[in-house]
Amino acid sequence: MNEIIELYIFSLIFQITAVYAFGKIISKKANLKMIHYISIISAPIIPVITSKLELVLISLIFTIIYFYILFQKIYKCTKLEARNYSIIIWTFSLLFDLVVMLGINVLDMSPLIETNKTVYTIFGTGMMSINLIVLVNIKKVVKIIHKLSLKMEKLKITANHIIIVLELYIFIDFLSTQNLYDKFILTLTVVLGLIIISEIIVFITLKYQVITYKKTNKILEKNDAINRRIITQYRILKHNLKDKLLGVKTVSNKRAKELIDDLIKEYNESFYVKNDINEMPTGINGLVFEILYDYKEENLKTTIKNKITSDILESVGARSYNLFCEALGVTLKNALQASKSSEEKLICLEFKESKEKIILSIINTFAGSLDLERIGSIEYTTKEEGHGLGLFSLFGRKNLSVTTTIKNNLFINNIEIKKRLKK
Amino acid sequence: MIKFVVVEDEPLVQEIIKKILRQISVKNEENLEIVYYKKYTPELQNEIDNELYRKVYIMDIELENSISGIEIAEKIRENDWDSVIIFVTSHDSMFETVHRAMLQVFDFIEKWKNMETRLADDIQKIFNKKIDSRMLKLHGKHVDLDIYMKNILYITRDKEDRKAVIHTDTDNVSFKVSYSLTELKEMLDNRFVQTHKGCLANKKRMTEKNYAKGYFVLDNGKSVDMLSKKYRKEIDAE
Repeated sequence: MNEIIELYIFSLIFQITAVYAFGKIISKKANLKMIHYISIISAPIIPVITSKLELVLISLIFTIIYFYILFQKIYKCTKLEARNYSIIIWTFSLLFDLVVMLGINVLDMSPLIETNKTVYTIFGTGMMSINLIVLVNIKKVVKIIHKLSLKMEKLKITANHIIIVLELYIFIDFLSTQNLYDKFILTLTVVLGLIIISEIIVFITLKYQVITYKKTNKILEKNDAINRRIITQYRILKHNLKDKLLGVKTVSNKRAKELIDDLIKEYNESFYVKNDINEMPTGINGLVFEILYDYKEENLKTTIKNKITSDILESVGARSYNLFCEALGVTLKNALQASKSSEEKLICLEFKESKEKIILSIINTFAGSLDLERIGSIEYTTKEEGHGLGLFSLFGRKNLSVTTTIKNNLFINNIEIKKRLKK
Repeated sequence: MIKFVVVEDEPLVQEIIKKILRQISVKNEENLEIVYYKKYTPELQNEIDNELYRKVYIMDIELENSISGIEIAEKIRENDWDSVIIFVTSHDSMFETVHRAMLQVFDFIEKWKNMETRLADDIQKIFNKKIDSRMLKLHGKHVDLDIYMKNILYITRDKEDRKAVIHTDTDNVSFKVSYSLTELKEMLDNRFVQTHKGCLANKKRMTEKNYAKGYFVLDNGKSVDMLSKKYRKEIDAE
């Protein structure tokens, strides 16, 4: 019973210290109401129960969530402030605890602690609280904490970060409490250590990859903007040149007129620039342009309408974006193949969005015979052999919906991809 | 009675449309019911949902502070394929071709290019003849097919695949569907008659029938060898 009361008192002391430290860091006075006092008094019961049941992990998770909520309520601070400073205080307590535990293990003081648990707890919690109070009263330390918080604002703290920190804590806790001279324990420690290290390496590598992709994406976006500008300038130049040539034509003789006509024709045919590339969302335009370029000799009449204002990659996420591009590629190639054999040779792309999804409609004319039952089934194709897997491969994909409708001689494919839920 | 629904946000164009409709009304000695909207509103949606009248929509595409005319047309076509839609706008021709077919748009009229004459002609045409916009709607496993009955020339039976083949007048387009001729005949209107055990044909598209030689000719010049005397009575009935 005494042990429970001791644990409760020390948890309470730590909480009060944390509340004080938070106030010092953000330089605000606590707005304490009766409900907050009740909460502070009753919350330490959870760490007591979890400690008794040896559920260290739950106790740790509870503490950080509790701090996050409590600090917001008491200090009326922003969610971001509450999150960052809760994590800093929580990490400080963890590190302090680990240092103390490691020290005890290194100095081989475990048997002494076993007989004097209360002294150890008083020493541990007391030292931690005193250190925390001293640290938050040093201006330089508070400045460092503020800087750290600013850096954390840029960093998106995910479940992965928290899991790795918890794993490290449990591992060091395990290190400090077990007898490492036992061969089995030593092997287990090495294996666990390797697993955690590999996990951290994978995590850092993935993070690095994401950063690289983001940088590449920015460069591509910049290039895209430059290309759009060049296209606009090219259009103006082409227009002006054509006008001037036509002007010259009016004062030319028959032979010169023919030459000018040939020149205009040659000039028009030797460049393939889709003027409506500017209409399309960034990123998608490159993909569409590349596919259309293969059909530049077919004299297809393409029209593109875009009503999307948001960044597709941002709003659907990388995985769905890839899926969207795949569906766009498959459907657009099908549409181009079908359209080139039709009389009207029409292709219309419409980009739209709603709150929940991004929608692309590809409408094309076609000719010849279609089997209504077999469209979209495996290996059915109206194109050359071996091209039938496309549309089939898109059905039943998670987050993606492809619907096909035929209205007379128009083939209409609607590709819909779900947007990410906003947090 | 035909009801006219005008959706136009430019007062000047609205005035011109009003004037034309008044002239047509006097010429045809018919009172026209006309309602005006400047943009898409719940009242306009009620108008669209009202199935009591066949309507003629005269709409602008770009409407200020509102969903576009095209989107309004899409709402109309969710249920109503009988009403007539005319767009009074400025637009590019490819855009026109796609939407003309998709939304069964009667005409796209450029605002400042013979608008008055062309709109008057269109409305007169609507008065003179019944607009044929009936559709055959079929469902495949992954695809839905909507096809105007007027565009169907004839339907045959493919013995190998045991499917019906719908032959249309556009780009030699034909559709194989898993329906029997009897089922299709029930879905089609009375312009389609059985000409042979394995053939249904659009009577309105036939230009010549030769029962002795067993063929009929369609208005695109195509001859089909599937005419049986057995069905003569039905085929020749008015």
